[in-house]
Amino acid sequence: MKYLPLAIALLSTTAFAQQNTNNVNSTAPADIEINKTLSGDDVKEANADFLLNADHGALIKTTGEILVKLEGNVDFDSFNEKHHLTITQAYGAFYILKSENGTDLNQVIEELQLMPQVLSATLATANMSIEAN
Amino acid sequence: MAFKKTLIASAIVLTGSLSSIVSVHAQEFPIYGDDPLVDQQWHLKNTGQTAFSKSGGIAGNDLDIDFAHAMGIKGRGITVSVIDTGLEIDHPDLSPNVVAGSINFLEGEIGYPVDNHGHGTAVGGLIAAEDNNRIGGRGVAPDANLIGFNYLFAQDDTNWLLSHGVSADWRALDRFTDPRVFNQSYGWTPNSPLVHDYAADPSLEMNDTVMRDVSLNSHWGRGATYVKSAGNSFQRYNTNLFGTRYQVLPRENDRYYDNNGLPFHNANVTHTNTNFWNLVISATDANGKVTSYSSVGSNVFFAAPAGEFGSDSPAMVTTDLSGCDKGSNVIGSTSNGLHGGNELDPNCNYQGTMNGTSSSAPNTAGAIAVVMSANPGLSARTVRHLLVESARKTDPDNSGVDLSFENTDGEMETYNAIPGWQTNAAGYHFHQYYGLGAVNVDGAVQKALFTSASLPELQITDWQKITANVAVPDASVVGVETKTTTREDVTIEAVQVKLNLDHQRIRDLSIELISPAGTRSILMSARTGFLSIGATGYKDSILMSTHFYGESSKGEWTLKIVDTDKGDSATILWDYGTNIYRVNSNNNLELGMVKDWSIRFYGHK
Repeated sequence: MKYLPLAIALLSTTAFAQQNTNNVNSTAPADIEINKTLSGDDVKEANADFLLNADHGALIKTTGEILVKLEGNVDFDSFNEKHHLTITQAYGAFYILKSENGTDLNQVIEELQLMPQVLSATLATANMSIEAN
Repeated sequence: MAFKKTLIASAIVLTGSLSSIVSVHAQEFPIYGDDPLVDQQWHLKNTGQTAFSKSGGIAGNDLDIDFAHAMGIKGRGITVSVIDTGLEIDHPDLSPNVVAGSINFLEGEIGYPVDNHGHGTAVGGLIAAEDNNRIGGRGVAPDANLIGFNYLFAQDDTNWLLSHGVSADWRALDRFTDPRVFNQSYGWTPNSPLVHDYAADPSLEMNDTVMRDVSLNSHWGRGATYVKSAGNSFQRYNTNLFGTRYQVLPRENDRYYDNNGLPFHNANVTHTNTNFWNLVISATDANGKVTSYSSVGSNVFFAAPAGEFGSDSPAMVTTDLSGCDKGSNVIGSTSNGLHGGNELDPNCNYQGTMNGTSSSAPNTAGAIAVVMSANPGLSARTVRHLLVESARKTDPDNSGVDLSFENTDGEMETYNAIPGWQTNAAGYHFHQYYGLGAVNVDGAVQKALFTSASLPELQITDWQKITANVAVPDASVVGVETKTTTREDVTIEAVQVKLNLDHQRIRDLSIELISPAGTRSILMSARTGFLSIGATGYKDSILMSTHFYGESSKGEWTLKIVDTDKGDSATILWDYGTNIYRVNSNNNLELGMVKDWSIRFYGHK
């Protein structure tokens, strides 16, 4: 667990205390004014758009990969050549395709989903909230 | 020194008696060797040393590894994978143990897994820093092999596969230089229960499939072990909302960071912590008690040393990025007595402030490598079984946490929210903070040396679904129970519950699972700091318990839900600046509803 230095904006009228002298992240307000209440109807309204994509508080980004799950064999050679894709790794029924030159991956996924042997084709994401403990 | 080792080994060979081994390994041995920092590595041999901090711990609270090291059982032939920020593989204390197989994901090439952070290099040193080389300290398994991946700075599905056991050429993992232990000192803390849905998240299915295969089938069927840090969210955690990073913290009794003594978050919340394949490890300090930060829960398998912050009390002494201008030990740093150019480490190649479950995990990974090397023929599951058999009851007087709250009639009730140490029906001890106990390497090595057969084949039962549709009474210790009877008789290694439950303020809830033998396991502790915004409860969420280890699955299982709050205590969101928000301050307007739950068992016949 390594805490990175973190700049904390201090209010001149607010008293701050050190919760744990060894952990800059734990510097916390000891006597603060709660300036907004997030519970109740206001919260739901204010956060509706976000909550649809809240991802449980994770920071999610796409990776440029497509994760394909197959049932049976698929000849990816011609498909990949057409879409400028490469198979970067595979395991069992799962194949990971990656674009070589900024191909529209959503369009590729639509085409993959039309193939009878393709059980699923999804845009791969990474959870950037995963970090060292 | 060499004579003593020979004498010990000879005694074992000549007697061949288990009882004599017990008496030998129970003795205290020094950690032999000439590593200048080893005397401060309290996790190997806790003598009460300060580890360059202001105070020392309590002697004896360590990995119990002196006998194994004295015997020369130190991980030979076992490769450990460091899946992290990278690994400085030319560090003078690591390079002798580095074997081929590392990948630099930043450049997309086989070879040097550049570590621009230092975390992975510290982890690698805990696992397998070389011993007896007159520099630095040593790893838990100083004879083990190391490979590293800078996965945390290049996370995608391809790199996950390559770092978690799927080789670039798809060959089976069956060489000495292929990893048998995977260390994952990373994670995150969701602000609401996750949905376990393979259809919606195919990568989850892929990852589970890979881990199952590697765990059971690699290395000629002997398998491998994934070790996972439990998390560092006992007091607080970070979350992202609207692209902003917030700290989430409790506020009870008009005090920040007050959660009535209860953990604010729970290790049982992420997919990676609730799959059977990850061995989840909590963290202890140099006094043998849970650290101030360690996530805990029913899914914790073991506890291992990690320490506090290395200033007031000991942290880990381990490898750092080489040089006084990189890593945690740099010129001018004063947080730890080792830092800034100590005569024992003039080149600043080591540090004394590494901590976190990031440290307890690699200490356990090293321990597993040591036990595997004592008897490489044992399956990975058997090795962890031997660690269970030998685990030590640390902080033995810890009595857990009772929570008092007012019920709907205005009366005060007391609920045993975190039990103290319990002994299950199979005789194994368990505590939410420490799992099945503290890692005891010598005890497990002794058993490994004299164990010839691995555990029977792993059985995974089908999900058994129970439709409940029962309401959860508000603020009452009575709670609500829903039961099911299991006919299959499996000796349990772990239990998973998949839960569908609606509740408008799930932080109020404690979720218990009670076995046919009467063992009560807290799957989710009350006042866990979930944010209710956007979350109505649990939806196909998986919770796991190792508490029932060794018990039979056969009989009646009870799921009990207790709502512990009708009040207006709050959860706080802080943006690390001037904005502080109050969340969860309103009680649920409707009673919670347990819709259905499913249960399945991992174990053997």
